[in-house]
Amino acid sequence: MQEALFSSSPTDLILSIIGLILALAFPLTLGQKTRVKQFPKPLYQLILILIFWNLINIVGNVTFGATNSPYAHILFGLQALTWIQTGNAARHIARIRYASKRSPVSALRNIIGSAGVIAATVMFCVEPETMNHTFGFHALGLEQHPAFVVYGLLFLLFVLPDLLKACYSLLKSCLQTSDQSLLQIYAYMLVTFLFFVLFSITLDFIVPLACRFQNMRGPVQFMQWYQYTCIFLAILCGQYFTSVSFKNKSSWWFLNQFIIHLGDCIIYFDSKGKVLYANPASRQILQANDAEIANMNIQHILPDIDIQHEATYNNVKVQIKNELHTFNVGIFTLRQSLTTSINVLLLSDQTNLLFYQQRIKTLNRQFTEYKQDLIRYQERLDISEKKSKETENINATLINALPFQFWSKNENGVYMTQNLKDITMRGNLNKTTDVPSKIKPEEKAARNEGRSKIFTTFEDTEHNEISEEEASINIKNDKQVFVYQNHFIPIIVNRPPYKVIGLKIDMSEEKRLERERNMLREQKIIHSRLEDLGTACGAFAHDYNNLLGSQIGFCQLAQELLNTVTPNITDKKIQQNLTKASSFVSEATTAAQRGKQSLNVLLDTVRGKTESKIPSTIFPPATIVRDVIDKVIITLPPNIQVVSKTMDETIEIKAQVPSLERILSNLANNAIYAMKDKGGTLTFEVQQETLTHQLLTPYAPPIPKGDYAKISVSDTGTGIDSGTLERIFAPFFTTKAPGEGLGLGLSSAVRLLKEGNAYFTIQTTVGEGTTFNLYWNMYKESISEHKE
Amino acid sequence: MSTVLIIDDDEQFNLMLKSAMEIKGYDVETAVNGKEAKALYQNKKYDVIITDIIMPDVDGYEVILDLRRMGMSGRTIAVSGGGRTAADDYLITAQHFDVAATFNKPVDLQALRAKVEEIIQNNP
Repeated sequence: MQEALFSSSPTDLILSIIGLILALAFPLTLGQKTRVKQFPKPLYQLILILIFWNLINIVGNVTFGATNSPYAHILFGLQALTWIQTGNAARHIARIRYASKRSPVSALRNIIGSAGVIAATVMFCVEPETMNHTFGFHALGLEQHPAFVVYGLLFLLFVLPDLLKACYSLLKSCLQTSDQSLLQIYAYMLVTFLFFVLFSITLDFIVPLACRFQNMRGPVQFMQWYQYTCIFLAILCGQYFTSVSFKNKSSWWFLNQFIIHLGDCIIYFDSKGKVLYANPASRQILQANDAEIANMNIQHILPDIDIQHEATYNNVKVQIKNELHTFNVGIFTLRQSLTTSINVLLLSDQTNLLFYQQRIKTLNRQFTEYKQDLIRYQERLDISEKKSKETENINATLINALPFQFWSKNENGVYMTQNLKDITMRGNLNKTTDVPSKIKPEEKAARNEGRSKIFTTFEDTEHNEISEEEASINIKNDKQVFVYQNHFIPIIVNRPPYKVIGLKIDMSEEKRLERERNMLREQKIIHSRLEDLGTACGAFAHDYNNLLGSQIGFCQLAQELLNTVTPNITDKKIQQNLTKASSFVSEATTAAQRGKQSLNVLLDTVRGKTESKIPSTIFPPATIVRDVIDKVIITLPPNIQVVSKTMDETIEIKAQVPSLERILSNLANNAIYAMKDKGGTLTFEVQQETLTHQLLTPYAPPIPKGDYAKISVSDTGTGIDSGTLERIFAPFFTTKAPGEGLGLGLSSAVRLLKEGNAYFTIQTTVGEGTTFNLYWNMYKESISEHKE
Repeated sequence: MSTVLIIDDDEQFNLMLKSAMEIKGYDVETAVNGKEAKALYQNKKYDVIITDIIMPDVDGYEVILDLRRMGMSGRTIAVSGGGRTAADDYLITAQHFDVAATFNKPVDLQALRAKVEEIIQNNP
């Protein structure tokens, strides 16, 4: 029985037709999902093989069926030419080396395989018997199946190794990949590939051998199942390719783009340091073109770094064409297979980074400085604010403490500030304006012309303004009159109108005091005139008294004489005449006596006016002391100076002002006289002194205990010797040369003191000076108030 | 015979007093100021000295104080015509200096002579 090369069963025919249709349709479905346009040649080759193979099989099935003939052998040989190449194609797809050319070894294998097939076919046609004898093994029921043996051997030699190699490639990919999804694809591919290979081997070789090429349906054909599974293998390969290529393409593309656009330098180099690839950035960083980079050796670029070991280095200084760069260096080794690896150098230029870091540092420092500046400015601001607040406080306090009314208006005449006194007097006028008719022309002058004005106004008891005439009438009538001094002061800034400050100073008290002082001065003048008159009268009286005294004395003597002589005269006529003369002398005496009386009347009149009419007033003696000093200074010799030591203004006494002034003037004049030759200091002092017991001093009456206002007049003159001291209080006692004065005036001082109920002490050292202390009874207001 | 010294710058008054005293039989000498008087009373002891107070050069007070130092206060009489200020002041001050008596001008001659006589009787 002839070996059946083709199946005659309709099932196989149908299967072959389906396979042909699938093989034809397969390219149309490829790449629809993934849009991959380019497929590897082995895939197209495989499809062509399948189409051709199935077509031949259909032809064989229809034409020859189970019969055996040389034509069947030729057809079968053509068919074998196709499937002999399937292993190669499958292996290429599995390795995904579609881009690379087929190795000449696989081409040679293909050629040898094809030659083998052709040789076998020729042999079967020419020498079928020889073939039967040669390959018809008497074992395993192979006697009748030389074709099976021949083609089985060809399959084992040229197809199976490639299939197994494809499996190995898949397994290697499985083990090498680190990508989870790729691993899944590889594993799936491997398992299904293996399944289909084993499946077809089992059905095409093992099953025919096992059942001795006979089953229930007749003879069994080999290479039938491989034909079908190849379709699945092709589909599988297509799927595998699309998924892997898509996966690979996307990650490769991404990596490629990434490396191309990366700013850092990426260089692939071999174990000797030779550059294999450099990305565009490295051209810039290494400042070299591609050719120069290709000739570079990594070890030369990085002499200090061991490029054989994976490591990273920070801030490596590298000299590149006169520029010192700082790189972060990374060296990685990519293991491509168990024995080969590729080294990758990653250089990231830190120079700019460092530069920017420096910039950031500088900016940070500047920022800190600015912040500190800000704080300082803030502090300065705070301080100045505090200061201005303090000044404001001081100003406000000062303004309120001013003893007169104060206000200020802005340029438009609106009240801005007022002190308490002004508010008390006129109410709060803040932010208001005065009625235009009430604004004084002086204020307008200050605001519009910048002229400072001072003028006086008068107000009656109801604070209504009155004229000066009305005011003087009111004063005369003892009505109260307020006198104000008004100041309008412009604050001159830029151009008018200006801000204006107004001051209203109550001068009423000053004016009253001035009036009183004027009155006192007038009194003093009158008094001193009367004094002069009194003095003149006194001198006149003294001389005249002497004259009258002589006259009266002589008259008396004459009368005595006449009285003793007359009775003894006998001549009546002479006696009568003598009696008459006696009466004449008596008349003369009477006239002289009357003259003396009228003289006394004159003296009394003068004295009474000067001494009793002056009222006692209460006043602080310090003011009188000042008046005396002022008066003394006018005629003061240049070698003498006047000093006022303690001047207790609070002390008041009740006395006649002119008296005190005269006493002090006399004392001062005496002191100046005592210092006229050597010069010196005249010192005045007013202070309170409390005597706890009676004060006894030489040359002066005792002083009872009590509170006194002590007025001292000291000189640094010649002093008074004890002899003189005994007599200084005598009237007209003088140590002055004739023409310099009539006396010390101390006797009158004593009298005035006695009249004023005052006391004195005198301390003197010859050659050092003299001090007169006047003790005046203190006038105590508080005591008199208590008494009231 | 008792001696009397009269000191006054007014010579007429001096003459008048001298006449009044001489009538009473005293031995009278006069001086026109304290200085002249001083020369007299320092060399001669007088029973009574009558002095004016206000005189040029050495005045009556100096004389009075001088005489007080000599223990002559009891024999001294001060006479004053009062003067430029208060009339009594001078005599009050004089009394302060322990003179035997004071008289205002114009002098009551009877009283003065009586006082002189009294002093002479009291101070033999």
